[in-house]
Amino acid sequence: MEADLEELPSIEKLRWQCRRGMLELDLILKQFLENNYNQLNYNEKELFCELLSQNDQDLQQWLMNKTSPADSRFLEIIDLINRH
Amino acid sequence: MALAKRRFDTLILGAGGAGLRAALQLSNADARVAVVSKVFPTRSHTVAAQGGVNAALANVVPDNWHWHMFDTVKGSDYLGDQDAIEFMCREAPKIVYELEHFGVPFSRLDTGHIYQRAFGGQSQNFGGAQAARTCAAADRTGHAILHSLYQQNIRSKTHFFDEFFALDLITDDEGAVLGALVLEIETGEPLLIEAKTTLIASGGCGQLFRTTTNAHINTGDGMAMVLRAGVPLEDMEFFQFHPTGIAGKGMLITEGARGEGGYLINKDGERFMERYAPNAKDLASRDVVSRAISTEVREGRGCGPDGDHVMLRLDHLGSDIVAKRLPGIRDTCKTFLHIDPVDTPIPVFPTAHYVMGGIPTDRHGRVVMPARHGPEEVVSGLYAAGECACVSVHGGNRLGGNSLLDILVFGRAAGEDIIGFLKENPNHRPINESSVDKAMARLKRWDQKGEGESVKEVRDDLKKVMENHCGVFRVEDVMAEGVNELVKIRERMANVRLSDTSRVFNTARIEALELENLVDIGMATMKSALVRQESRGAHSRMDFTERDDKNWLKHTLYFLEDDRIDFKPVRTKPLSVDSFPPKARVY
Repeated sequence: MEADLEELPSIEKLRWQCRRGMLELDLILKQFLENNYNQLNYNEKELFCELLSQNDQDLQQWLMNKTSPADSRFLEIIDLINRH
Repeated sequence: MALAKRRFDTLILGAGGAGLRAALQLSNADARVAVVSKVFPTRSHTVAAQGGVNAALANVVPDNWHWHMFDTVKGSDYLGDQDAIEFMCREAPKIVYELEHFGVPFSRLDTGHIYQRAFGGQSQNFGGAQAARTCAAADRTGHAILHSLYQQNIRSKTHFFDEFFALDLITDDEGAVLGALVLEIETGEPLLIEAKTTLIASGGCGQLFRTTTNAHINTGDGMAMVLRAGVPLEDMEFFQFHPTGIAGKGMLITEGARGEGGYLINKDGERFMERYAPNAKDLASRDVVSRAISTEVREGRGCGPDGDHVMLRLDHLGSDIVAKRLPGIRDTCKTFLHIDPVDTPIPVFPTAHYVMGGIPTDRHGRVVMPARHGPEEVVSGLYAAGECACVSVHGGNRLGGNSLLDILVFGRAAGEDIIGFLKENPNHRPINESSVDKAMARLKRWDQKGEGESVKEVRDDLKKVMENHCGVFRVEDVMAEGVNELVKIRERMANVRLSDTSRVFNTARIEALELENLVDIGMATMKSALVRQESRGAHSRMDFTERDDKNWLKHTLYFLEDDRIDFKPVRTKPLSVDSFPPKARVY
């Protein structure tokens, strides 16, 4: 990792942040974290961390009803999660 | 290192709708309030409540609180306490207007009034025409309520302990509650929060079952803490199941799927509902469909390698109908099963949704238990509200739209009562060191190193035992066997070890503590279901198919000590109107 990159939260911390108010999100986010997160590049990882700070209703819309987020930065990571 | 300590007037365990509504009431009255939540507050399970809030506003059709009360008593199969139900239904309009004032964006009629939708179980004029009583903010009511309450609490300076896990209540020798020992998940360090009053608002326990609609956080932590403090749980045998969840995962496949012509088949491809309900077939009532599915599986006609589910067919409907009328179900199947129901049947099984039972309280949110002077003596300093509590306004079964109402009405009522308590009891009681030591021991136990079973193994087995022995198919010998299985699981708990005993963000340790909670609540549920030899509300026994008001119009109480069962009478006398006496169930 390059020295000027900020350290990302530990996988343990992210695992807890995948605990949500809805079962559907628990399953989608946890599965992605366990199976795919480690293979992401730094930017993708950073986006995933930021995605976890979004609220549950929006995540549900994006990850289940397949509506696009207003913030286009998330498009790529949502697409990655939806494909897995 | 010395144990860190903080002091507040009130400690609230849980940051869903009930906890936040109570916190707001208290913060606005200048009480010092701490809210402890194991996840960030706006990720509480309240966000999953999409239906709405019932209140007799009469914006669409004539309505009044007394009709709402009748429907709730009837829906409870007469096990609900009628004083609490009257109180809730009378408070409902005020609660909705308050939410509006807090900024909840309710859907509106053209007139500008709050829109109200019709829901099952709602009637005008005591069982007459359909009423329209549910106020909703589109399909995000729970989310809108939780976010508004959170913002209000931030403004009112409520103190939040986010990502802290509550370990145990601290009590003194007289049984008064003095606060709780909690664990900061990030550091793994314990913290003692002393409080003059403690409110438990920790939500439900759907994670008891393999197939559940509940989020992973719903592990009944507050309920188990209360059991360990010597307080019983009430009516735990009453658990609401939805007939069709995705097998093994739990997500709801709505009744709309069968309404549109979908039907269930077993492993032989037989449309088995024809045998159980020759007329209504797949549109029979929820409990009939749930029991039929469960019976097919028990008798060896289930699908899949383990024969543990049945199939819901939609493929004969054609892709147009599925795409147009059931888009949500199609999305759910694609996301979680990677199948398209247009051409592939959906594996389904009854899914656990809501627990009517819980911590016994009165209508002020005060926790009550049998003691020297009667069946409902107040536990000093302890309150409960929301799904973890049993007031009981839902009795044997809950009406749609009454759960958000319950958490708001009784969250607020508890807050009000606590304000009074704090005026009369301005000082902290001295802390009881032996109670703190006991709570610390619960934490330290998970420092044990060495070989042993994993949390996951035991948790998976617990969920299977609950589903197989205490799901929708309830009969004496199956449940008695279930009790034996739970005894074995309890014994296995002593040999469970963590592979990682570090402190910082050790979520495995949290999962172990959650599992301990679930094991005790599982026993409460199984024992209570075994003892109630009748069918009432959501509790239906194959061997006692009728409701028995002569012997069973009473609440069950389960105590952890010796797995003891006791009972207390239903409060059939309302506050100001006549009682609704039990009538036969005809819908």
